[in-house]
Amino acid sequence: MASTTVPTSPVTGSALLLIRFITGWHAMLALGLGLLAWLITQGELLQQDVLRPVAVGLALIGAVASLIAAPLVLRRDRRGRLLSMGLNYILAVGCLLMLLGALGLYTGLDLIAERFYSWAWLLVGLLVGFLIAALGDRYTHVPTTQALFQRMGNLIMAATILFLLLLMGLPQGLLALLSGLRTPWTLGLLGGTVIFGLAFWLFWRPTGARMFAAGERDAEVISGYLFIAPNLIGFLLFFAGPLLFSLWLSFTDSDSFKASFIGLRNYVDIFSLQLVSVQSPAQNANELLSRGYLELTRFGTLVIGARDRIFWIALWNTSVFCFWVTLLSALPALLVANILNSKIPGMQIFRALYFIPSIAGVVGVAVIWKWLYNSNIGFLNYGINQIIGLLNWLPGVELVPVAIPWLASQQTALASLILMAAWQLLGFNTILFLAGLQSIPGEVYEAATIDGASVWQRFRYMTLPLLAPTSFFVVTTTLITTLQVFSEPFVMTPTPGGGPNNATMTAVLYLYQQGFNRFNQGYAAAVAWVLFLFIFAVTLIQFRLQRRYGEM
Amino acid sequence: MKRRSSYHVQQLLTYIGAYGVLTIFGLLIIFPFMFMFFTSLKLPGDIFRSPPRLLPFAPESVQVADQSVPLYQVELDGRIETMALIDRGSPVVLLASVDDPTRTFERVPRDARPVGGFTKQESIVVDGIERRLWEIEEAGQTLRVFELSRGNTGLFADPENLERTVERSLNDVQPIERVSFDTANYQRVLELQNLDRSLTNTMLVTILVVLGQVTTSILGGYAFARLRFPGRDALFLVYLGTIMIPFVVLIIPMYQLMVLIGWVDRIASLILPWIFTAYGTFLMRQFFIGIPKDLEEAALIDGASRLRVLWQVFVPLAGPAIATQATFTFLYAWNSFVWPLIVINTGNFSNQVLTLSLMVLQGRAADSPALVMAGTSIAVAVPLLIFVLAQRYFVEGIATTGIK
Repeated sequence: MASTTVPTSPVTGSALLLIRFITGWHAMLALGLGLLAWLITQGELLQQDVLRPVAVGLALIGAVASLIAAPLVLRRDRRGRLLSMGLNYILAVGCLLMLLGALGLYTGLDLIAERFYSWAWLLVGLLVGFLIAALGDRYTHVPTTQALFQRMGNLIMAATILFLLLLMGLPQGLLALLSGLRTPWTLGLLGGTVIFGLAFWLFWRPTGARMFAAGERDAEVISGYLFIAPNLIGFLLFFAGPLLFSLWLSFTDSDSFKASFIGLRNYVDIFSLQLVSVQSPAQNANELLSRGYLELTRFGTLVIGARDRIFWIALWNTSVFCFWVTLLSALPALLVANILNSKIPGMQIFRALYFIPSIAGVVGVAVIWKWLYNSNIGFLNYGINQIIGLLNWLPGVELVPVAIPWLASQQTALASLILMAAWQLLGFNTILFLAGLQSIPGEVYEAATIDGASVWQRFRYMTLPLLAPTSFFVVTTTLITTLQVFSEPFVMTPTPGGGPNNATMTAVLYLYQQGFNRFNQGYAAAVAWVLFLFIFAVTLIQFRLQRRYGEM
Repeated sequence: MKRRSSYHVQQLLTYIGAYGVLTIFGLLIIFPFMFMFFTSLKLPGDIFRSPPRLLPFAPESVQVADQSVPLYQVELDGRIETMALIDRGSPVVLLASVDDPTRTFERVPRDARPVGGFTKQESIVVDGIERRLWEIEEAGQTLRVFELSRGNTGLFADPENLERTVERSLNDVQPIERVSFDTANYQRVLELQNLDRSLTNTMLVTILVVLGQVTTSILGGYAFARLRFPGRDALFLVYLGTIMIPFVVLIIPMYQLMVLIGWVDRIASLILPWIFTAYGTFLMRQFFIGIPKDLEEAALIDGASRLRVLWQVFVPLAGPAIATQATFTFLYAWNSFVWPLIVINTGNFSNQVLTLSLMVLQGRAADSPALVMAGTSIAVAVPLLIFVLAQRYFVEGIATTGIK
């Protein structure tokens, strides 16, 4: 940061006192945080081994920052003010969050959910209010009527919310929270929040800014950090922190209670393969493979064995799933989007119709399809048999009715999941293609039509090349989604999922089973990172292409 | 003139072809939902039918002597008549001779002996269908027969003239049915699985996640778009990078974090970690960057605070962008399954969400698809309603950003 030398404004006695006070405060704070770090290393405050180094590190960083801030504040350096404010803000928010936790606000959400159960029907009021407000849009030619409708709608919605909050016991809830302020721990946290907040506020007010001769520039910096703060705190707590934690876990044998560092062993176990050759194709290869290895697959007399056989099966299944779902959802989507793009009336209705599977959610759809796939009473076999019946009318065709055990057979189970997933993604991809098609100027086609290009020629030599960016986007998006397939096999195959005989075992399902059925959470984290590398590769290609083709 | 009419014909054929393809795809798309909806309205006796039937049917009945009895079509003296089943008779097996399948017999089950014993009864394949083999006594001879069907006999009476009765095997008569919608499944499923509580829980979670995400991304998006502070651009790059990181990497550490702070099995774990979004922040930033600077500068010179400028200038202008983000967040919160599955115990009825209940329900009520489909209908209906109300934002949202 460029430090500008602004003539220091005359400092009144009270301001000087404040600056000295805050300097002293930071010296004390540095001492306190140092003490806290020491206490944590002694194992006095934190039971969890995993968190201890992190907590010590954070406390030490805070102590050092506070130590740096103290002399800067004394010299009335602008940077000192920013540093002091930042530190006090973080500590105040930290205390507040812990205070809310200690008062039981987070776990109290369960109670709120219980109350909401009794009063959720009041949400109808919101819907009514919304509809009344929306009704006003029909009277755009009469502004007073429109405003009346909107005011009425808004009033109904506001009243509904107020009623809901009152009936759910907002006042009692607040009182209950406040009544928790009795233990020394909560009172201490409250004190911390107030003191840190006060220290922050003393520098934040315009008087504080003037003491440091800070101008508009600093005000903007502070606003910027304040606006980003909620997002950033959440990001650090629930994203960046867990992400690093996950990487560390993948080097441990964590079982969710205790973890010890085992280096790369998880990754070695995942990737260990062994090649042996057998004399005859009928020979059992597991005797030839080293201990812990099982036969994965064989090419002629060459046998590949793996230490974690199911991981490779899962990876293979996931790849097959990705390939077919992408193909089966993208190609029909391209066809449908081209038809929808012709200016025929009624297209909006079809467009909306095709989108419904995307909004229905995987679990609901999987539950429905499970019954469609039933081999005796399912509609899929019924439909196929109807078609067979029709074909049998043709001379020379003699087909036998089928009773395909879709999900129960090793041969068809994965295909069933592919069919369903492609069906569900079709509408989404159609809309992506449609957006791409609509960005192609119509004049190009007109010129080609006048030149005598046929429909197919126009599609092959104009639409397809012009649609290339969209196509890449569709393919990569579908790949990223399908690489993470989990719910479909989990819901549709019998617990714990992945059957029959691992035919529908996917990478994320395997991760889940390792992590939550067997509680090999370190191993599961390593599987997650391996899978992440695959997804990351696809995403990277997507970002590259997106940049090349410009804004999509 | 002639050219013109051939042009019209061509146009018409294009229309028919286009509508034809679209309708076929449309039917394929919508059929599973029709199946869901109609099955949810079926009576328990109407479900396991082969071949399957889409619409729900209920047997037609008539009042006979203060009792409601079902109506059947019964063949009587060569004519088909409508008769009421007034009494169920004894069970019968319909059997056909192995040597001459046209000869059929009706027997009470205890008069037929299974070939090979009850545990390992032999069977033969007749016309592609496996049939069980029995032995019966017929005119003093032991005959080998195969089973055609089993059933009950019933006593049928003419509803107009109750004296006129006839006994028939229930296999030989056709029940008279009409399309009927039975809503009792919805009532039952709400009670069975605490599905009503799951519904309100899902609503609460979804509402709070949407509100939280919109709030944090408006604040963050404004900071990234309009305020200059050290480290902003680097931070923004990091945010963009996080969009590339899939949720699977976070499953294990987030679970352990929830264990650590005691949020396992708590509603809080479904809401609070999910109100921060890199993607939403990114979207809001992109939208805010397009808003002319003069608008806010005028307000700032008038002495308005940044928060006030954001609330009174930016938020009203960002209506469509906020609506788009809200609708998508709604969908993901409503349909999210993996995270609730991990943190909420499936045995904990009070903190379940719909996706989780549905999964449990389809395991528990595997023998009554009507109940499962009623639950699914409830889970699908709300997003469908939101989709109908906010369709514009869905389509525009995907078209402009391709978010998923």
